[in-house]
Amino acid sequence: MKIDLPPLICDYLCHRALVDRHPAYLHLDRQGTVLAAGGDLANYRVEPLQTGAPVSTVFDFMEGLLPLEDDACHLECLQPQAGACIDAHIIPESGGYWLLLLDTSEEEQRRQAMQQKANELALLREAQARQLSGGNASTANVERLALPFEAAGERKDLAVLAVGLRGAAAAASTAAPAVYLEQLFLLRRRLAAHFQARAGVLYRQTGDLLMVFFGLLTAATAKEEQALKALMPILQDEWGAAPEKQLGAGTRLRPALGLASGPAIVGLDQTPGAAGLQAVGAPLQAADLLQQRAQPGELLIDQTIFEKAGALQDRFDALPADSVPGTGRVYTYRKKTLT
Amino acid sequence: MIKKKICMLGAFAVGKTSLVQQYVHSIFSEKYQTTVGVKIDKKTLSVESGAIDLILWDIHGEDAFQSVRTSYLRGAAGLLIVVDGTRRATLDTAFDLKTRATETVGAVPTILVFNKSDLAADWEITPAELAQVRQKGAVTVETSAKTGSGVEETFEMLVRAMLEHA
Ligand SMILES: Nc1nc2c(ncn2[C@@H]2O[C@H](COP(=O)(O)OP(=O)(O)OP(=O)(O)O)[C@@H](O)[C@H]2O)c(=O)[nH]1
Ligand SMILES: [Mg+2]
Repeated sequence: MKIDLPPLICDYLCHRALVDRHPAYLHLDRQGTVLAAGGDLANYRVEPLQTGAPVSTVFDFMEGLLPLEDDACHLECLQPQAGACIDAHIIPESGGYWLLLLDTSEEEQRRQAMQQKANELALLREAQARQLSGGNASTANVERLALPFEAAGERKDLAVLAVGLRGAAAAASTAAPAVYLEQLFLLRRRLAAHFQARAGVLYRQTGDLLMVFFGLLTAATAKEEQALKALMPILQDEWGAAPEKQLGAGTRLRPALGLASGPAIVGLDQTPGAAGLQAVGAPLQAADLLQQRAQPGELLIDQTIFEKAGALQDRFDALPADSVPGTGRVYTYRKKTLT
Repeated sequence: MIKKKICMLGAFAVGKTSLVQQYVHSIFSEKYQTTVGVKIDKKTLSVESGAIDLILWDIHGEDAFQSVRTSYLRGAAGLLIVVDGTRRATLDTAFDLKTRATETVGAVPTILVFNKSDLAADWEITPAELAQVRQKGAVTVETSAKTGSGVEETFEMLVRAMLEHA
């Protein structure tokens, strides 16, 4: 690409882009031997630099990187034991390579501060979700918990996900009971953890059913979006390509999914021995109805979820009116088909 | 001197940095400081055939916003994929990373490291689950970057596998 700019502007931009970034370069032959070097090498603590040495003795991070095919390789934010944070570009040319180094220490500090906050929040949310799950929200726990709702009761807008593990009854009749239960429990725990790591709170798990709430914990995105985002890996490819991860490997359990949204009343039952978190309301019933009507591997959602689905809307098809009585308009998720 | 590149992979806050710090410098910090980009460390290990320089790539954690660039994995001779035993979901992240890493670097020696063994009472990953992972052919170890338990053994086990593989 050629950009037509007056030389003065070009020089100015160039200077702005490079100032404080301490550019340095090494010219390498195809074997990675240093032929020449220049720029602000001192900033990377490699001065004096001996030509004729393998580049991996100059920079540890170059170990194993060469040879490189035709494409340039960009390694962002490398932090050696000492010295600056480096953006490294390896640019192949006919006789060898150019290694270009830029100092991104300042940017690294900015990104670190942001990433630190985001990760700490995510960990906090995970811990909260774990403490609230199912019966975990005991009276003892409540004191330590910064509860995101009134323990005595509060009306909350929730996106409720109901999961039915289909094939369960069939598998139960053939598999050894102990093996079957072990598989079922593993799968339930895996699903629960998956949603808990994505701002969901596990409300109930009994037999082959799970119910998860989104919108109970504070998060940066809308509850409908959280729920749909958390469901995508499960819907797209049965949870990743790794065979270890396939849902219900061995038992052929597949989830039928119902997702509905609306106001519900949530609170804690603090009677000793009671299962802490309690909730009642229309979205719980609707999600359950949708789950019951869904085929294995299918996701059905209600009108409210659909309206908030954003860019995902065109992945859903409307079902005929009254397909699932008592839930209003219903939409089904269309899987990506191979083209 | 032989040099070998080892990559640390895993979800955020599983203990990748802590494992490297424990292994290389014998230190541990309770304070969480997330890694941006890659921290590069080095440790010389002596084996029967001489000394090896291990170049350790402590890569930032995988999370909702940043997924690990495969360019970081180029030239890796071995992988440690780290799981936080107290957070079940980090195991699924580990499987994802393992699949993606294998696509980039091929079948290099890989160990699934179940870290935070000192917090056994809080583990969300059950022995049954561990058994299932092992049964599917993964090499697994349990470590504590805090107490140091299993840390040196893990790196040495990986290096042995790397030398046999090479
Ligand atoms: N109890 C215990 N805590 C650990 C252990 N390993 C790490 N931690 C703690 O877990 C937190 C995260 O550790 P890090 O080593 O920074 O994790 P990381 O995988 O490098 O994280 P990112 O760089 O964000 O991906 C820190 O607070 C550590 O103190 C362990 O074995 N036991
Ligand atoms: Mg780290």
